[in-house]
Amino acid sequence: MKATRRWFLGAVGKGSVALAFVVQLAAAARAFLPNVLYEPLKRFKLKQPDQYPQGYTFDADRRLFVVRDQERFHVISAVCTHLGCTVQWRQDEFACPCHGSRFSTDGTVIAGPAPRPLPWYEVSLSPDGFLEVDSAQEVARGFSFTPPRAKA
Amino acid sequence: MTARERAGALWRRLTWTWDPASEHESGDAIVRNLWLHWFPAKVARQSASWNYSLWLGAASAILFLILNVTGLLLMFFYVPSTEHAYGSMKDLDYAVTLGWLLRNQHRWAAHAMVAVVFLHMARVFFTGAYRGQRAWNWLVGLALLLATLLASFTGYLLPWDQLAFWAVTVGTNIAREAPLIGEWIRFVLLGGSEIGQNALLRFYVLHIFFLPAIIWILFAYHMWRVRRDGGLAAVEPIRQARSVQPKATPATKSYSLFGLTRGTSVVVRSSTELEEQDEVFASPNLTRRLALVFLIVFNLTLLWSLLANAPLEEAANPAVTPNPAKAPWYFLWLQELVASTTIPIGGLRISGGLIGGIVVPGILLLVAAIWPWLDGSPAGNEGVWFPRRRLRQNLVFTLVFAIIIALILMDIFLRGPYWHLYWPGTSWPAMPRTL
Amino acid sequence: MEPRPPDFERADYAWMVIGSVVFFLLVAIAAWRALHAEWQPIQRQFRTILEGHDQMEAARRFDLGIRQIWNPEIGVVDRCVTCHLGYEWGSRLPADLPQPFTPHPALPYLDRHPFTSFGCTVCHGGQGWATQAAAAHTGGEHWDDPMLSRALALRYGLAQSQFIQMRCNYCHRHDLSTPGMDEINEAKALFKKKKCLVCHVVEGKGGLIGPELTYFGDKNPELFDFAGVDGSRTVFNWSVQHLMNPDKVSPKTAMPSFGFQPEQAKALTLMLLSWKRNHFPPQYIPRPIEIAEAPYKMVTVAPEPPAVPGADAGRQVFRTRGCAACHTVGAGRLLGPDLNGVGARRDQNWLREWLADPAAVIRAHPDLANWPQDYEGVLMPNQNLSPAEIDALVAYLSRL
Repeated sequence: MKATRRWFLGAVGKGSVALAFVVQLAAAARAFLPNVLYEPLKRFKLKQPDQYPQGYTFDADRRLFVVRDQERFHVISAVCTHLGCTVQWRQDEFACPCHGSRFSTDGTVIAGPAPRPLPWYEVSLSPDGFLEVDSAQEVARGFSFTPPRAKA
Repeated sequence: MTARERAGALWRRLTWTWDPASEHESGDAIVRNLWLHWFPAKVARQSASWNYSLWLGAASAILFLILNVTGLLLMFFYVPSTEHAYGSMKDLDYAVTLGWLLRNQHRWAAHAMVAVVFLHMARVFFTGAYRGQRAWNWLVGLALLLATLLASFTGYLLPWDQLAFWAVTVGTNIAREAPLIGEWIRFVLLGGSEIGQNALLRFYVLHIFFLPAIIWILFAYHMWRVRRDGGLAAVEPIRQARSVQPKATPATKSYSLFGLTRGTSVVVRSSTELEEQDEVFASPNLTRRLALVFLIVFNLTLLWSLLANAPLEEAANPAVTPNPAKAPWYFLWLQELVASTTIPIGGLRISGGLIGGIVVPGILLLVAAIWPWLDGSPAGNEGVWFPRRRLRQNLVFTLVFAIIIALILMDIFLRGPYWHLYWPGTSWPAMPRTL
Repeated sequence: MEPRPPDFERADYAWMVIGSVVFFLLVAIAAWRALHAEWQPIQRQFRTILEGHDQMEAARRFDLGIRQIWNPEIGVVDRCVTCHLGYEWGSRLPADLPQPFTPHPALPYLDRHPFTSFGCTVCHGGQGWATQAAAAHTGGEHWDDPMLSRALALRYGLAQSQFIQMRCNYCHRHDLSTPGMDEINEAKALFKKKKCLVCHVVEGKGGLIGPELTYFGDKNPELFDFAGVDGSRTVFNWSVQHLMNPDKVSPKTAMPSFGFQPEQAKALTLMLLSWKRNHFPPQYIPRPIEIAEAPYKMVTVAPEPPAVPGADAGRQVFRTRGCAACHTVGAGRLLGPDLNGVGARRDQNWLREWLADPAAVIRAHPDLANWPQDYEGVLMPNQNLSPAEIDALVAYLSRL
């Protein structure tokens, strides 16, 4: 096939059509990746630290446990790492009703098909004094947050 | 002509293709009627017999047709919004005249279609009808199987009840276990990170348009391939039988080119086509039997719909996981795998979602897809049930099939609350209620 | 004329006939079911009743068909009135008509709860969408909001008029007292008198010793421990038995036994189960009949206990183990006595024994037998302190 002008123009024409097609397809595909979500934010406020009792408090809406030990706080996700059911707190362990996964008090897997321990989320204090959780930020087990206080 | 004679003539003109009065009309019918061009003029008796194919392929197509029609009607009543979906289901059950029947027909036909396509696949395997040139159609059939399962999966989110919501939670979390792209796949499927309005709408559009369209297109191709492959594999034994008896050479004229050649003209001496005694006309025999299968299948779904109501649990509640939370029966074997195949290797625990949900089914699908080329049985064993030369292949298939069925039965009857095993005879604990 | 082609299989004809017959039968059954709904003979019967009570005009205009009360503001679709046709006929039909035709009882507050605004299920529970009795009343296995029938109430030893107050309180939660809601009113009075807020948070106020109760009615029934509960595993049962004997239902609980009678425990349970997340528009929330601040007018956070040099460990135990919920030091009596000067009143051995097991001390000292009465019938619960904690506390208290 000789690189004639005719051939070149033909290639440009066909190439443009192909490119247009591909770009259209890519644009349509991109439209399907949402830019806004009608979902709760990943970073959200809970209640004020003083409103949490000692021990494990279940937040059904946010699907997490707020754990208070004296003045130290940490947050454990209540979403089973196996297939996403909500685990239940049973005084000395978490138990998932779906396939029998069990986790110890710090989220380590002790039985069942869960592949990973329950994640701990980052906790901090919002500027207006509420506990703030960032569920997009996992922290290591053993993390704790002590809100600064006016009195010791 | 009198009016009555004219009416009779008109009726004859409209219906002669379905009720041909002679062999000439039978042959003519398939080219003169849009619907009948689907069929060849003649089919082998063996192909049309009950005990070869059990008409399972036809049954699955009929079930799909029922699903299309009931589904279209349901679209006038169902509202794909998280606020209104559940209420629209309740309206169908209680307020719409015959809404309960429509809904039941759709649900039970869906369950039946999944079962029948699996049985059809088994029949094709056991009769070796995926060998040789039919291997490509086997692949198309596998694609149809996948599309059927996906259509079922997208469909049962739509009622937006607890079963729907948590089954899709489990399903999309399995998808997330795919390495590297899992999280992204889940995000695109759901249109977000949670199951909400976006997910409902995407599953709805997939369920009512894209998956049925894919199934229709693949189905058309699937049928065309049957024609192109020379009909159902049932014709193969007949062909072989005929080919060992060469026909007598008929007397032919011989023509010479410029007087240079001598002898008879080219004659085919062995028969590669079916003979007259092997075949019947498609119209009316095949059409009649197809109508009969339609009647039987439709009656069965109708009877089932009159006897049992399609389930509907409480409205979807993301805060409360039902106990036990089970997938529909055709995915229960997957759920059992997913729940049991978390493997600790060294310090890592590989999720059952990956192993049981993606790897094992993926391997099964792959093996099934390349089986026509893995199959080591000698040629010439297609078109009959359980030929001795295919014993090993059939045993392997039966084993896998039996394991799947066993897992399904186990999960239906033995898995109770908290996914504990309850042996038959022991009662499941009553789950606590508020009042 | 060429001969007809030989038939493939004659049996197909026979099966077609059979199949067609079966088909028509099934269609006939489906049609029969569609045309013979459960409610149709009931509606015809009602028309006869209307005629029998000289309501000829209404009987003439009476149309058969599914009826519903639809109120999108509160998300109500109540088809109960398809069968319960007498509900608005209280003034013209006798009150003793058999169900489902019985007119709604002429309650004094019915005017302020018009049917079109409230529907039926808001007060009575059940599945409003349904047009069959069983589905509407109990809803089946997957419906956790049954109708509050007389039978269900009786199962808990209550009358329907008492049981139903559970739902009245969905809107009337912040009334201090509401005429016609005797049980709930008693529960609210008990709630204030027994100072439940000392240990429980309700709507943002209260102590942290026990779990938050703001939306107790929404709690997943599976999260309750039924090991110590007799009878059916319902949250209602759990709550009643827990109120009457906390230690049996929740072993080692810090909640004291208040000596509630069964009627009181049931009243409190009705109130607790009424505490659910409901999204009623403002016009449905009644003006408080009395200012409902009173339950919250109490000291919920005791002042900090004083620091005592050399006994800081004990002070920490005092703060973190909840002693401050019932005792102050020098700030007056709460549920328990003011501990200022307790070091002078009691010796260390007595304190040690008391902290280890208050009930045993009461049993061993007859002169203390009237103590629970002196403190509103509340005995200090065993706080399950470790020996180290007891030592530290004793060292602290003996210096107060």
